[in-house]
Amino acid sequence: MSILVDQNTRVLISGITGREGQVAARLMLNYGTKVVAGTNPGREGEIVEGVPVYNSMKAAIKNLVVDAALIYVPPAAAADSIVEAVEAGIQLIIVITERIPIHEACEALAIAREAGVVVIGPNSLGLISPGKAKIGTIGGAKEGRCYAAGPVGVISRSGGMTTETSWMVKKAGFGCSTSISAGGDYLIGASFADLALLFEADAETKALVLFCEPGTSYEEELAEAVENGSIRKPVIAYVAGSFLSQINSQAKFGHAGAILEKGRSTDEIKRRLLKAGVGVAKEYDDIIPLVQEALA
Amino acid sequence: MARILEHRVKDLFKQFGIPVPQYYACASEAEVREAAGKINKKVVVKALVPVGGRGKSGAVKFAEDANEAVASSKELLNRDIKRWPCRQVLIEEFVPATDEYYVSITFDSRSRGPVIILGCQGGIGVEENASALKKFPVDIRQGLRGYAAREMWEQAGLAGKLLRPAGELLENIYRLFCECSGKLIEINPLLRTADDKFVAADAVLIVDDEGIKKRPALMEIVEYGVENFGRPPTEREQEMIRIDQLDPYRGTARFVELGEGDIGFMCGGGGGSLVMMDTVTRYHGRPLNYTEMGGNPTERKMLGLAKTVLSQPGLKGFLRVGNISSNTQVDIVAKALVKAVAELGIDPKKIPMVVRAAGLHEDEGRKILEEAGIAYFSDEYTMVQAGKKLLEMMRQKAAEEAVESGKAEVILK
Repeated sequence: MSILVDQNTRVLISGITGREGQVAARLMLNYGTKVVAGTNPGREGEIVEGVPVYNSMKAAIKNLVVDAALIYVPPAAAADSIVEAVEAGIQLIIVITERIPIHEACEALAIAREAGVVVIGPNSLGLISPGKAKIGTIGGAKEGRCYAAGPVGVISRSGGMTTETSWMVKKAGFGCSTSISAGGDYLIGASFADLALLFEADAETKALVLFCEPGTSYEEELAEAVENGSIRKPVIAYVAGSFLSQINSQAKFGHAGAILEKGRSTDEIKRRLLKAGVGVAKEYDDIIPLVQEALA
Repeated sequence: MARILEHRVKDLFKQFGIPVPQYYACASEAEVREAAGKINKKVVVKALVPVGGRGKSGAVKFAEDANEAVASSKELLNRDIKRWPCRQVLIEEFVPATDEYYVSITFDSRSRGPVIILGCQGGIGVEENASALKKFPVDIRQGLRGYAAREMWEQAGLAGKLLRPAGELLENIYRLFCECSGKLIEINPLLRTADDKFVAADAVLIVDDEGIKKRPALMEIVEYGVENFGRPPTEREQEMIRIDQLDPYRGTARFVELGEGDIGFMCGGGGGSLVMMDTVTRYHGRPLNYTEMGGNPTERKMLGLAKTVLSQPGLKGFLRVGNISSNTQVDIVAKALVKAVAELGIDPKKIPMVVRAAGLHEDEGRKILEEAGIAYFSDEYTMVQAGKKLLEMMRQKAAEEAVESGKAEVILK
C-alpha cells in the first residue's frame, strides 16, 4: 500500500499546455501515472503528450473519472484553479504553483478543507509512491536513484529535501511507501499531522521520517498527535535551523513559510518533538541509523 | 515581504476610518519647525525607518514645542537608526491617553487563517507580557462580523460603551488588512483618550509581495526587501538582487552577507541551505554568507552568484552543496564556477573548494570541475559529509600554511 497516489490514481493537470505542465505530464506518464486529462480554457480538443485537453475541469469530469488534480497554473490563477477542482468534486489537489497571494490561497484552502478535500501544497514539488506512480516532477527523470519502494513515509515542506531524505532512507537500506513534498508556503493544505494520520492508517508504512523547518505550528501539531496516541508508528525528525541561534544576523532564512513567525525556533521545536517521543536527529546524517533502529 | 513606512500606513488608516493623530513627514529642520508650529502643542518625534523596536532604541522622542522638536529631530535626521539611514522624521501631535491597547492581525498556521490579537495593556513592553494578549481566529470567507468584533474586545477585557466604537474600529482594521494584502498589521499602542476616543499612535503594516501586484497604489509606497535582511542591503547584496532580476523567470538566487567568517557559501534551495548552515556551524566552520539557489538558474545568474560569493574578503574556502536530483543542472554550475574562479584569479590549490551535486549532466560537471582542481562529489557523499570534507581541507591548508610561514613546526615521529 501507499497513501494518496498509486498506479490506479487518475490525474488531471491544470495548466498542461504550459512548459512546466508538459514536462510534468511526460515524466508522470513515463513513471506509470495515469494522466487522463488536462485543462486550459479555450484549448479544448488539443492533445498534449497523448492526453486530451478540456476547457474546464467540469468538462473533463463529464467524460472521465478524475481522482486528483495537479495545479500548474500561474500564481494569479492558482486559487481559482483549486476552487474549480473542489467544485468538480475532485478529492485530492496538488498545488505546485508558488507565490500565490496569501489571502487568495487562504480562502481557497478553507473552501477545500470544508469540502473534505486533501490539498498538498501550495509550493509543493509533488508526491511519489515509489514503483507505483507519482504526481508532479518529483524525482526528475531518474526516480529510482533516490526513491525505492519500502516501509517509510517521508514528509518535508522543502521539495529538494523530500528527495534527499528519501535517498537517505534508501541509503539506510529501506525504501518509501510514499514521499510527500508538503509545500514550502506558510499556509499549506495537509499538515504534517494530517499526513501522518494517513500514514498511520496505511498497513505498509512502518515508520515516518520528517524534515522540519522553524517558523510554523506544523511540527507542534504533529507532536500533539504523537502525544495523544493518534500516531503510534515511530517518527524520526530532523529539525533544520540550529545555526540561527549562533549567528549575529537579523536576516530571514529558509522558505517563506519560515519567515512570518517568530517564537517557534528550531530548539523549541526539537524539545517539543523529543518530549512527544519523536526520534530527533542531532545532525542530518543521523537519520540513517535512526531509520535502521526504528525498523530493526 | 515588504514593509511600508509609518506615515504612509497612517495615510491608509485615514482612508479606512482608523483615527490617527495629526502628523507630518519632515526631511529638514525647517520642515520640522513648520510642522510643530502647525500642530502647536506637545509633539512626538519619530525616526521614519522601516524597523520595529524604535521606542527602545531611542528613535521616538517627545518635545514640548517647536524648538525642542527641532533639537530632537537633529538627533535622528540623517543618522543611522538600527542600521537604517533616517531621511525623514515624523512630527506628530502628542495625544494624552487614559489607556493603551494592543491590536494586531496576522496569519496563523494552526488555524490556517487570519488571527486577531488584542490586549488591554498595550505599549512598549507588550512582548514581555504576551500571556495577557488574546487570540481570535477569523474565518476568511465570513470576514469579521460586527458582533464578533465586539465579542473579541469583550473577551480581551473591554466593557461598557467602549465596545461599540472598538468593534467598529476593529472591523476597519480587518478591512484594511484584507484590501491591502496584509501579512501583518499592528497598532501598539492604540490610545484611549479622556473623552473615550480611540487613536492609533503607531502603525505597522507588512504586505504580501504577491498580493500587492494587483494593487499599483500600494506598490509605489512599499519598502522592498526590508524583512529579508533586517537592515539595508549591502552593496554586494544589491548587486546580487540586480543579477537575480536579469532572468526573473529562470531560477532564484538569494544572497545574504553575515558580516564575518571565511567560507563562501553557495548552497540551496531553502531546506538544503539550512542543513548545510547547520552542518558547517556544528563543526565550527564560519560561513561568510548565506545563499538559496534553485529552479535551475541561467549560466549568467549562476556566474553572478559564484563571483559574488567568491569575491568576499576573507575567503578561505568554498562550499557548494545541492540536493540530489534537483533540477539545477550540474554542468551549468560547474561552468559558472570555473569561469568565476578564472576571472577572479582564485587558485583552488590555495582556497579549498568542494562541490557536491548529483543530478542532471553530472558526468560533464564532474569533468569540468576536476580539471579545474575543484573537489567534486556526487552521491558518494551525503550533504553532511561534503560539508565536513571542506572543513577538513581548510584545516589541512591552515596547518600547511602555518608550517610554511614558520609559525608551526613539523614534528617528525
